[in-house]
Parts: sequence; C-alpha cells; structure tokens
Amino acid sequence: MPSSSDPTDRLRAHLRGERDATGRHPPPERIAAYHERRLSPGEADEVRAHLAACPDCTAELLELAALFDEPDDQDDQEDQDDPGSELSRADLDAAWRRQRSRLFPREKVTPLRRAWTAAASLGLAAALLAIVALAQWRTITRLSQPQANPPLVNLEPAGAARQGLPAAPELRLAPEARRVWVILNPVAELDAPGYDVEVIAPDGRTVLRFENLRSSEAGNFRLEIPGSALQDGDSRILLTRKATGGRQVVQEFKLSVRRAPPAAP
Amino acid sequence: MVTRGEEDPGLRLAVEELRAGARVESNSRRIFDLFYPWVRRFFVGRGYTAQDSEDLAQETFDRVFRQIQSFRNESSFKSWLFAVAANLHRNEHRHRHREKRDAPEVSIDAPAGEDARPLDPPSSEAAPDRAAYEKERREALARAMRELPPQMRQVLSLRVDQDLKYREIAAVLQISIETVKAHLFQARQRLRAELGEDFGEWTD
Repeated sequence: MPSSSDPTDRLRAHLRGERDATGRHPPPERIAAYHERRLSPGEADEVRAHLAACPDCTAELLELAALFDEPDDQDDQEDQDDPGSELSRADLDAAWRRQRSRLFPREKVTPLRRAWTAAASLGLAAALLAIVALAQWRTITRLSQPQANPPLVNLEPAGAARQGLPAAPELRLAPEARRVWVILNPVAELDAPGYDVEVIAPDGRTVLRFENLRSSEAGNFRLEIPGSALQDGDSRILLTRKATGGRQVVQEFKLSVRRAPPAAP
Repeated sequence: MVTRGEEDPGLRLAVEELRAGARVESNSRRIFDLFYPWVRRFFVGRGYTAQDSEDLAQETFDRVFRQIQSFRNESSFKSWLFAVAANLHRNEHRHRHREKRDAPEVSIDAPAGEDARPLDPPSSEAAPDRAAYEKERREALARAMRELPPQMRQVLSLRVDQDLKYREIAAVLQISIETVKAHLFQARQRLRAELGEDFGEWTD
C-alpha cells in the first residue's frame, strides 16, 4: 500500500484536486464536434482543458475515437462488419415498435370518453339510417302514385276532315297538365326539311314556334307542346316552309282547348 | 468501427425535416433503421447483456429524437448519436460501479493544493514535524505544477491521473505521440529540478 509520502501518490492527489474544479461537462454534441475537429481553436482549448481534468468526458471521447478512427490492429477489424446481419427484419421491426411506443405514446382513452364516443357514433349511425329510410319511403310513395300520361291529339288539316274525325278536336286539359303531345298529319306532299310550326293562341298571338323540322317517315310531325302554351279556346297551328319572299303556309290545323278542373276522385 | 465520412443526403434531409418537425414518424423510423443495429452493437461490445443493450440503445434514440430540436449541426449527426450513446454508457458504468470506484482509493492520500478538499482527515497520530513536511511538499508541488505550460499539464494529468496510454493521450489532445512523450519527459525534468529526484519518478 502506498504511503502518503509517496511522491507519485502526492502528484496524483494534486491532479485529482484540480479535477474537483472541473466545470460543467460539455454536451455530447460538443464532444463529437471536438472529435471531428470542427471547433474553433478557442473552443477546442476549452474542451481540451476539461478533458484533462474529467475522466468521464475523456472516456466518451475515446469511445468515439475507437468507433470512428482507423483501428491499429486486426482485432478491431471485426467491428467493421455490418451489424444488420445480427438482427432480422422482424427483430428490427419489433425494436421499432417498442421505440415508437416510447416516442409517440398513444393518448389514453378514459371509460367515460369511450362511452361518449360510442354514443355519438350510434347517434350518427341512427341519423344516417333515418335519412336513408325517409328518402326510400318518399321514392316508394311517389312511384306508387298513378302516373298520368300526357294527352295526345291527332290533328288533321283544317278543312280536310276525314270521316269520324272532327276538324278541330276538343282537348280537355287538366290544370296540372304540363305538356301535350300533338301529331300533325299534313295531307300536302312533303319533301325537304326546313318546316316551321307556329302555335297561335285564340287571341292571335304566336305563343310558340318550332323551327327547321323534318317530317317523320310516316309523313307527320310530332310535337311536345307545353301545357302553358295552350289557352282556353281555339288555337291555330300553322305548318310553314321557306319560300321566295317569306314563309309559305303549307297546312293549317286547329285545336280546341277546354281547360277543366281536375276530376274529383 | 463505424464507417466515417460524409453523411448521405437522404440522412441529412431526414435530420433536417425532423428538426423542422416534418414527417416525424417516417423520418424517425428511417434513422432508427439505419443506426439501431450499430448502436445496439456498441453496447453489446461494452459488455452489456443483449436485453440491457437493447434498452440502452432505445434510451439513446429516445434522447436523440427528443433533443433533435437542439442539435446544432456542430458535429455530424452520426457522431452526435454515438456521443449520446457513449455518454449513456459512462453514466451507466458509473452507476453500476459507484461503490467499487469510491471504496479503495479515497483513504490512501490526502489531496494537496489550495482548491482541494481533504479526502481523508489527517492522522492525529502523525508527528507534528512529519505533517509540516508533507504540507511543505504539497505546496511546492502545487507551485511547480502551476509553472508548467497548459498542454504539458494536460498530458501529465491524463497520464498520471487518468492512466491513459500514449496513443490515447494523443487522441484526446489531438497531438502526436511524439509530442506526448516529449511533454512527459520535460515535465519529469522540470519537476525533478524543482522538487528533487523523487518527484520525477512516477510510474509510466
């Protein structure tokens, strides 16, 4: 056992006494920067002075030197192997899951909050179900109503009455009728396209015009006339074509409209 | 040995994005996958069990990811990561060997120097002339040490106090081994000249 008068022990004791005056430890980044020689001379001197008095920081620096500096002997060479082979992908994934749970802990869900969440989800689902059911019920209700076909009128030219057909057939039109199908059966010979049809109200105003029509293969014209264009009384329907100096009336039809209240059920 | 050199641009981008708080989970995962096996091996190589090595490696990444905002790019990311691991290793080592470290060495010597506190109370049985002699020698040593150039004192401290090898002292102070040897030789000469033969005879 060395005695207190051993000069080496006295020197060692003196140096350890100096160690007690060591300041704060540099953070790991500062030690790493010193090792990489990235510090200014003044900063490096500060770290150096600390290292000389601090075995812990010196040990950390020597660890970095052992990791990153060139090895002196072959024994260190084995450390150069990629350590990835020591861990399977599954091991690494498991390690990451543990790390992830430390880094990003999931928010704790209290029973009360869980109950509220469940109740809110149930309420939302019920509301959605009710909306869908209502929409379905309305659709079924609508489809179950009898669908009224639009009225259809076959018109012969005025003054060319055929047997059994009035020259001006009467059309009883319900107030809610939105449209009327009208078929014009001209007796005149038709050729090129470019026919117009005008609907003239009983008061003489032109309320509707179809332009540039072509007759069907059966030689007639099928028109969809809005109910609003047919007023109570005798309307005239003119089939015209372009001619020199204006338009020429090819055929004239008459339609007698009687607006009636809807029949009582 | 961990391969040194420029960090790849992908790693640099991941670190920058993490510092900016962008794509935190995917970038953390990328860095973890890249370095976890190395960090784990670092601890295995220092004598820890597999389980302890995994725990310490995870603690290393915990610290790094939590402190990444304060990482200033003063060093490379990789060096910083392993400096954190080395720091953890030192703390763990100190914790595990605290009793062992403290027990045997304290009672040997009384420390010298103005700033030092006594580690062991002076023996009441010591002769008054002996105590006066020791005090005089300690003060002479402190004076002689103050006269040494800073780098020479650092080399002396690392050699005598921390028991480092020449090449370790050279690595710590970033000087050549020849300079280390020269400093030690000159320190020995100066102390011997100042204090007498016995102060130049410490064990190499």
